[in-house]
Amino acid sequence: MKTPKLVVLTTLLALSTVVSAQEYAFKVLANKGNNEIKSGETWQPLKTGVSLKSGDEVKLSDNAYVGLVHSSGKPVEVKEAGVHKVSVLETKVASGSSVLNKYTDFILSSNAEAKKNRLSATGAVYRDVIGAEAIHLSLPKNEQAGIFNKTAIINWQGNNVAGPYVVTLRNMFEDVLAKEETPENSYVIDLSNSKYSNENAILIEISSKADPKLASKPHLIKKLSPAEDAKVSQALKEFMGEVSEETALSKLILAGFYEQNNLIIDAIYAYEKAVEMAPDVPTFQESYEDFLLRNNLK
Amino acid sequence: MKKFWLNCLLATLFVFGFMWALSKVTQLQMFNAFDPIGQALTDFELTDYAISNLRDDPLVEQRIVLVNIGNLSRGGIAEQIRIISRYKPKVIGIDSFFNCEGGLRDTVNCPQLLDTLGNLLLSNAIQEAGNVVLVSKLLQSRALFKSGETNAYDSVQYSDSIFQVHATHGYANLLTNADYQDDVKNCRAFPPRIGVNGKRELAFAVQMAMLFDSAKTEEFLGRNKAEELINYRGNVEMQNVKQEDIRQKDLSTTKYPVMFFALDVDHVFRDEFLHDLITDKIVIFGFMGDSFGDPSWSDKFFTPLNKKVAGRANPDMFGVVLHANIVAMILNRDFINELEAWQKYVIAFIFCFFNIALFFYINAKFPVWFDSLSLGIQVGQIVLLMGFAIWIFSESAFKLDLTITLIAIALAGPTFAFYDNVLTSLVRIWKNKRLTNRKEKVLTTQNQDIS
Repeated sequence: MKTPKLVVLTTLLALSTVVSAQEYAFKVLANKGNNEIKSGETWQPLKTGVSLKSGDEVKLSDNAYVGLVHSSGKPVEVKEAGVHKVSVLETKVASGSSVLNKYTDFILSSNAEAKKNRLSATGAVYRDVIGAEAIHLSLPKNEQAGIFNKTAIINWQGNNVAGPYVVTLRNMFEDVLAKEETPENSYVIDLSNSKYSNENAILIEISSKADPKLASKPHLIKKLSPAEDAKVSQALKEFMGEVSEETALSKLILAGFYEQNNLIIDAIYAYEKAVEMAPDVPTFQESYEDFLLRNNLK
Repeated sequence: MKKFWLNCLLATLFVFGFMWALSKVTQLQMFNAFDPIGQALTDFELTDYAISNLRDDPLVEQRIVLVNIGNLSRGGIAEQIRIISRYKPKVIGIDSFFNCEGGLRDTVNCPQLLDTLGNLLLSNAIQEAGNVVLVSKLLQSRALFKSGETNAYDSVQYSDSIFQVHATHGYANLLTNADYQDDVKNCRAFPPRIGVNGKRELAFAVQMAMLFDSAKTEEFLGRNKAEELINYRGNVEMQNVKQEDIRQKDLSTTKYPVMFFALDVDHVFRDEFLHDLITDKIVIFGFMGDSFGDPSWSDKFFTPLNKKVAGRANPDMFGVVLHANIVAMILNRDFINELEAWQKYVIAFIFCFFNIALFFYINAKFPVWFDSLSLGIQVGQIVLLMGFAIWIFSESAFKLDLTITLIAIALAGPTFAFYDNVLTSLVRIWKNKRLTNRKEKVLTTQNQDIS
């Protein structure tokens, strides 16, 4: 009597193992760029290690990369920008091929070498210096583009490009979210605005209204992840616990906190506020100038 | 018949004698300056075709997570370790030295000393993690270096004491032909353990594997090999290509571009990874470029996975990924077996002996066809054996190094001709001369003084 029970139990156990092994189609091995996953109705940032199911979709931005591992252990690469259905990616998982097939592929790929463009490389470098671009934004590099607050202030140097200017805000898929004109050399973005509330990352570009070719490079502003946001909130609470007043000095201290936490866009806003609150105190302006130089923003 | 086999044996010994003489001449490197092909193929091995293109596709190793430290300062790495160790990895390996190279301790040559806060943070992070393996470096003392010994080491360079007291160590030295760190590095093997002043030192990857799974690692060390070939599983490489027309091209240097979980510098800080990914895994911190896609050549190696198996090419694998491949090999028991040195000579001797026998037979029976037949047999055998060596490596990870056999077969034809035509004729002449002399000494009616 014990044996049939044991057989049933073993079968159930084996089945459950198979089912759990097939719970996901892929896992994310490596991830480069601003990529998103749609599991259900909403798009969310793609994280390394996350599981993808057959019904999910993956969205890649330009020059992005996602390395996936199939439930069978085989790797799949996704490089093309756009939306990819996981069910379609599953069909790309290579089945095992014989040494003969591999040998044939190898020979054919070796022949393809002879046909390639031999003028792809140049004997020159790209040199990117402040002033070379028509309009230079005082914003950090994309690696430091995180923002904690809902407001950002963007300043720029015209470099002989007179206003008015056109401010263009796009999402990662180049869809224009907002386009506004301004005669000033600064622009304030309110990220709580409904136009941007669903976007995790925004690209900002400033161009001359008279000659759109005279433009800045697109710069990224990226919201913090919920976990990181909570971490900064907690740290800020502890840091500013005893400073409740809204003074120029408190803004200066706040700017220091943001800079220390690599939140350069927030630090810019805090410095701007400090200078605005105490325009007659040169120390604040000097501190701001030092900050801009220190962070290669000027 | 006995004479036939004796002749075969003598001819075979002559081939081996010729090979020995040739190896002595080439050791003098007289022809190297005019040998660009030889120089280009110095690092080439036949089995590279199998490992880079023809073997069964390996599966992703999911027990190892690589973290890119980019160009972070010590304080930055400390923060990464602090974040990662929160999710309880089983072992943390850090593929970076935290000392001053060459033992120079002034602030000009070692500005890291000025970053006291960063140093304290890192030391604290390593201590709190509690399961960190740091890299060390095997060195030779001046006396040992002067003695000309190249395979022995009598000292080990560790990171500064504030870091090393809280960690275990493994040497990061790998077997390459490089003279210094930034030289061209080609790596296909590593020494798993080395005795330094009577103490057993383990390689960095072996030490990490030991902390993760001591049974499998002891089994690996039980093979008792001074050098182990690395059975490369795959790479972690991404391209940063902004030009639209070449973005879709396959620009990867290896066929298996992502075979490990990998986190970029900012992924850790921005919490862009699943926390379960880290739990109970081996996490190895190391340099994989400023960020993913950076084409930096710093700490980058040529491996047999490179799509270009010979000649000038881009290096393909960062050092940290190379260590991960060794760990994966140990954990999966994917070892590469190879022939012992004496077995290589025995195989070469057998092939050479029977080739010579065949050449004697052809020369006796079909002398007119000898040249074309012997050449055909040699070329055919060489191609088949090369294919067989690649096939056997693809199928069973057995490295059948038939270099000596191939050289013996290639030399068997011309050496046989030399042996048969020149040496045998010389012996015949010598024999005839000897017999003639004897003849002259014999008193016959022709040479007898009749008077």
